[in-house]
Amino acid sequence: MTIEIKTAVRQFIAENVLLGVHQTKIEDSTPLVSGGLIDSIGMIGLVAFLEAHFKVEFDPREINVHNLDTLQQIEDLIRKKLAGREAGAASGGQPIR
Amino acid sequence: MNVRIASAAYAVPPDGEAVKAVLERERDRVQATLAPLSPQARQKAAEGLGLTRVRVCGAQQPYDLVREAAATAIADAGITGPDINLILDYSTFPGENSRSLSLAHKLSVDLGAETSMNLSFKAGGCGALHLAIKTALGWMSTDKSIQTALLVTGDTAPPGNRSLLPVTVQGDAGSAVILRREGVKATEGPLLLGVEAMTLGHLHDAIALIKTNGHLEIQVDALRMENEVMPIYYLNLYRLVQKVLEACSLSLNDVDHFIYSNISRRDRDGFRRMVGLPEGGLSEGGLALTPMAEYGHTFASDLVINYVHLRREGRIRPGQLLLFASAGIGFTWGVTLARA
Repeated sequence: MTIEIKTAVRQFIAENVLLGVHQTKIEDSTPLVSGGLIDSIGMIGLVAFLEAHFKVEFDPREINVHNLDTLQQIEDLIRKKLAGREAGAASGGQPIR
Repeated sequence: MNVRIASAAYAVPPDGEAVKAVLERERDRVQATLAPLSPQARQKAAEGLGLTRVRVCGAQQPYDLVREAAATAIADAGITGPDINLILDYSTFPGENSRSLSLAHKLSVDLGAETSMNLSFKAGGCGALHLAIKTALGWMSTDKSIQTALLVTGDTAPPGNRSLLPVTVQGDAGSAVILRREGVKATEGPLLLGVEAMTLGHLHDAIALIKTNGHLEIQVDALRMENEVMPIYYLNLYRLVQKVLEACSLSLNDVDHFIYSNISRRDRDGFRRMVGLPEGGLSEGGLALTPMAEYGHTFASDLVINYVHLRREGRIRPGQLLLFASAGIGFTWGVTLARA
């Protein structure tokens, strides 16, 4: 199954973080955090969404501007965590962190 | 093991200085620090400060402030020096005269607490109170002879280093908190329900203490603060708040008083948004009236100052839930929950 990560995140950001007031088109490489579209408070909602929607957990060290600044980076991180989960499940391992 | 905040007190030096004068005097340093930021970020840092004056040590040293605060806290708790079994000094900037020595050891002698265990650590900045509480609880839980703990911090900016823009401007203060095991005599005060803290070591040099020309200087990496610390600042604080509340089967709606730092107006506004309070809610809607205008930012003493003011104003009623939260150098985040 292909998970449309960027689509889901883009929609969440547009509806919840930017509250529909921004007309900015969010490209895959649009800098969300360093570009000022998502502030520190917005990060709370974004990370909560990612954890709930994709059923992953982030370690505090993983949550940084290098991993979550663009849709592409977010997708890469989520895919990495999902792949880890599948590998963990195959070996009867722990939930993904 | 139940432990209560038996008392808390603070002391500030009588002399003050206008923040405007501080920034003018340290203009070159401020400009160099803020240079890597965008014009908008520089403007935001200055406009969002919301500090007008800070108290500054003259003849007094942070130790003198700590001793004064400790004496007040001891009197308020209805105990004497020999009752203290543990002294924990968590000062971040205890002054050039005492930077290599623990304030706790001298304090034990001056307070007559000569049998106390004396400890000192230097980590956490504004978030250090939670580290101190958690450390004290650890000692108390593993050593039944430790009934009463005195936690102190005294901080002063190194000369010429009051500006920590784009974050804040530092004032000087000392403070003391007495924790007491429940059941020891008639111990009163808020019952500690939980303490959580976290650190991220890779951000240790976002605000660093370096030695230049034989003097300590605080170096703020403004770009790292903006790009690496601030995006996760409230997120980590929020996650700790949720963690400590959930462990007690409580939620944000149960909190009666949020006790937060006086770093800046911008920062207090961020915290207000984080916990979902309406605009102006952190200073008016049943929450701590900040003495920010009177003392400025005083590192970890901020929380003690704000707590003491709430008590003085009679705003803390029995049964109310208090949530202390702060974050600082390290980088360090901490949250403490207590029931009055």
